[in-house]
Amino acid sequence: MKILSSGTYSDRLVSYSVIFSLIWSILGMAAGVYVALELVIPTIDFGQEWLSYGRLRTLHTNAVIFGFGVTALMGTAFYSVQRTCHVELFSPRLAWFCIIAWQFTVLLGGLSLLAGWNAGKEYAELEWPIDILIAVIWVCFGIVFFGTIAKRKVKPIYVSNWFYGALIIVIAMLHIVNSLAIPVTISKSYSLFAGAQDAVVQWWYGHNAVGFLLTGGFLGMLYYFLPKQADRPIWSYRLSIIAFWAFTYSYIWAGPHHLHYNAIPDWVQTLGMVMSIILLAPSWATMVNAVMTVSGAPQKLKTDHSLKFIVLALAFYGLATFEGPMMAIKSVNAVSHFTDWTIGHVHSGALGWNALITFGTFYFLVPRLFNTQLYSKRLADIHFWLAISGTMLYILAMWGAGISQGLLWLSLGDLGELSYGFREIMASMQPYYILRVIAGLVFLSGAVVMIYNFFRTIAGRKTATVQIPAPSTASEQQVTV
Amino acid sequence: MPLVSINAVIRRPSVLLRLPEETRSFAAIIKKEIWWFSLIPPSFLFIGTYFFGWRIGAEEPIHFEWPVLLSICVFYYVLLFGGLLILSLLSRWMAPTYATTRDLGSHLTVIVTSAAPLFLGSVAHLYPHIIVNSLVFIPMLLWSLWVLYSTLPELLKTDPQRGMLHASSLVGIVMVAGVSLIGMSVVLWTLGIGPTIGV
Amino acid sequence: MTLFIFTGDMLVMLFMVVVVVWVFWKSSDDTIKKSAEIPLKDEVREDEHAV
Repeated sequence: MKILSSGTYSDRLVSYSVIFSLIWSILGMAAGVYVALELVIPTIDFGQEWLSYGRLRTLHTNAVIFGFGVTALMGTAFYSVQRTCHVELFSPRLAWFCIIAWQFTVLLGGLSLLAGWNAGKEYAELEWPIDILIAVIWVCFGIVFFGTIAKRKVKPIYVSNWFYGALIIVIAMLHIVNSLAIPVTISKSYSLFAGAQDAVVQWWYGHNAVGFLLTGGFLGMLYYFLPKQADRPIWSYRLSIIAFWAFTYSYIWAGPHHLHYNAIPDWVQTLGMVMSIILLAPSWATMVNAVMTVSGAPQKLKTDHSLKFIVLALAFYGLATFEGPMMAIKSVNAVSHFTDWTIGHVHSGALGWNALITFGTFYFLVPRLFNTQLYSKRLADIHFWLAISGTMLYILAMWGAGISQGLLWLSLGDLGELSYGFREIMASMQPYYILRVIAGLVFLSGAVVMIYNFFRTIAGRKTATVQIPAPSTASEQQVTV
Repeated sequence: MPLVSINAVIRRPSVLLRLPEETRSFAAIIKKEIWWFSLIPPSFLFIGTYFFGWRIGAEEPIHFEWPVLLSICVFYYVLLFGGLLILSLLSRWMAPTYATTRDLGSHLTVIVTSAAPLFLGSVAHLYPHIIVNSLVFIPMLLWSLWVLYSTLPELLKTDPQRGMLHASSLVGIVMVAGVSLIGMSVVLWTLGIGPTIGV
Repeated sequence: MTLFIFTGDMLVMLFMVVVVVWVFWKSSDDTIKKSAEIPLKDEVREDEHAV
């Protein structure tokens, strides 16, 4: 049956977003390896302020989250929303603006961090001029995304759009509230909040940045791209709807688990702890849904090299979403807070979940966007083993360091005095920090292998034109919203 | 059977392919292999800790009274023994999803063969310095992962793709179990139940 | 203040429960299946026919 199409999708901007995202991944991860090395050899800042740990670390976090992560989310959101709605993007020009302006914003932000501008809030270090840019671009992102949904030709709004939509709305709210500040100079502002109140607002923001950006947004990616790659629908669509609402409801409360045993009210800490534990259920519900979807299509693993990354990403997603609630328990947090265990947890999520699901999606997207085959399956295999090795090594090194720190810091002698000094404990962390540098190098080299593979895949090609299916007479009607 | 893992890497990877013919029943593996195999790491730990103490990087090594040390090693043994059995039960629980065999002996064979490099690497416990143990443990872990992914499809009588999925699920379970043990240990320690190292 | 937050929280929870119940009530196996298959039928490529 020949089906007439009704236009083409706007895919060129998606290609560009993939390329930009990959560039940021290398820059951001290289900065990460450098700061890891600085913790072993502090003199490699060569006395330069812009190379100092304090500035480079924030460059690392901002480049990987806002550069690598958000660019990937924007690109995949634009790719999937058009397709699940059977329409071209609401305003391709505005979408282009979002992608390009975002790159300039991240670049400016990175440079400002190297120059020493810092608002002093984790994952919100960028100062007020850049915060404004972020807000403007984010509003445009929302306009394009929701505008596309508004003109959709497919009646139901597919579940991945709910996750991306939640990402857009919640991040807008978090960013605007947490960044409220009184500017004093171009490079310095003072937060509207102070003291314990500022801490609570900051971690309401900080935790939900990882919740709705690094988890929710990437779940949107998963819910669209996994069925595409497995060539089967999600195992239980009903479960995905329940998981979405339970997820958005419980995640937003979890922030105070960053402030256990701190000067905030006890009931706030308990609330954060309880909701963090409840959050385990919807997170694992999604993991089960995804694993069961893949298990129904094992033969695709033979031909589809991206699916292996998704499978591995799901295993690490299970780990990270279990470890998080566990660390949110106050008695565990008493040992883990301020230690490298927290860093290990962050990276089991960032490397194991975020990076791997993005790489898996890119391995699927890149050949598809350019209407070709992946240049080398063998290189993809090598990348797979480098990725799993790097991630596991990182996690184990940080578990070792974190538990050691936690126990040594708390260790009391017979007379109730501290058994060990802070300096000697931190000096003994060196072997773990060396292992972390190696882990980072292993993971980064995997990413370099991937980028070479993509470069050879894309070289000399243009983005393919893909037709939008025309609505069939019976099942799809013009939607009035 | 656990020693097959060494054989495979040092001499002949093809020896891994003969494993399915040598698979024994669940009870037989426990009686003949696991009870003594699980003794290896705790024994090394006892000897190493008794003579050298735990060196976790801070200045003085930590020493224990021998009854405390013995109880730590006993718990270690129970954990390893129980862990091998529970993992094989969980692996069989997943069998219908990945169309793998339901024979418990085969699942236990996979678990033991994959864990073998780690058990053998516990020789590093003879000198319980954290760096030494990490440096030995990590290549052993990578070796274990390699053995798991390469032997599982044959041993559990499934195709390579389903085998890969099953193996990845096991990796996920092991990681979650590992972090749970860390968490539970920490909770128990902060409640005062644990070795007296002053926490 | 606590009462205000608590009430608001309960209302939000009620909203979510209502949404989930309503979606399930209004949908049939057929509509759920069609929704789940949306990603599988969203392109016409030169080398494929749209499904």
